[in-house]
Amino acid sequence: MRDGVDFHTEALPHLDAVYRFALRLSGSSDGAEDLVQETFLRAYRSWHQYRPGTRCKSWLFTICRNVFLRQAERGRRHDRIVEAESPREGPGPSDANPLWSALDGVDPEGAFFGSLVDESILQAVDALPDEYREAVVLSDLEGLSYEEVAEVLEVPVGTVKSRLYRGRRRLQHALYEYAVEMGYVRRRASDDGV
Amino acid sequence: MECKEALIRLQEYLDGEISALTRDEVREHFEKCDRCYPHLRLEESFRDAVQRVTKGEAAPPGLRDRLLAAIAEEEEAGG
Repeated sequence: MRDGVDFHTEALPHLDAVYRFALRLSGSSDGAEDLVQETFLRAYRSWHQYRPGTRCKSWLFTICRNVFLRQAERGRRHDRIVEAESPREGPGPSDANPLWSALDGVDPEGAFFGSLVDESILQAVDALPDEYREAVVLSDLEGLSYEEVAEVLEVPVGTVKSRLYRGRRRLQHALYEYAVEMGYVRRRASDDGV
Repeated sequence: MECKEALIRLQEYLDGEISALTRDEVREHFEKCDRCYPHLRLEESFRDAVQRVTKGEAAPPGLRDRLLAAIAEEEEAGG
């Protein structure tokens, strides 16, 4: 117990969430377990820095990501992608989802994604570039707000919005391609721009 | 609200990152507009699918035990 807040009570309930995040970052269960163990040990050692009232889950995600980025190769790959990224790209004036025109007439209820097998979705998430994957996982899977995601990723909120937008579009596109490949949907002649 | 603006705001709307007033305007548009409604359904089904596949993922039981043992060691070492 430090500063009136118990580490076991406050931090350990987030073990599953941190494991899921680590799994998506590292891409393997072995890598995720190492990452989680290191994350919680560092969190324990730094528990005196944790401010009660702040969101413990976000704090743990930040530590987890920092541990992950310290691996030199990952860090270098990360920097390259960040440099190539345009922080302003987001929804535009003509931003109808291009998938809709591709699925028009095939999926009137919008059930396309619900029909995909779990494994294909997980593979598509794991194949996203780090920046997009982190944002999508933290927002869509763990329910963090834009501001919380921005704190974990140490970027402005506008960049979070942009990464979410681009990450989701890439993910949707990958799943569409998978569905075409598997014969779930037929590619329309006008789908070249999807 | 026109279609163009509703589609621009769709991401923030679904993320719950929008003011209450704008949220109501966006919702009203999608409820009434037959052209835009399918876009809302597609985005919603996408998010549902992504959340569904990871919902059951949990840390292996052994990991929790190893972690607790490692923390206990730290506690002993630190007094």
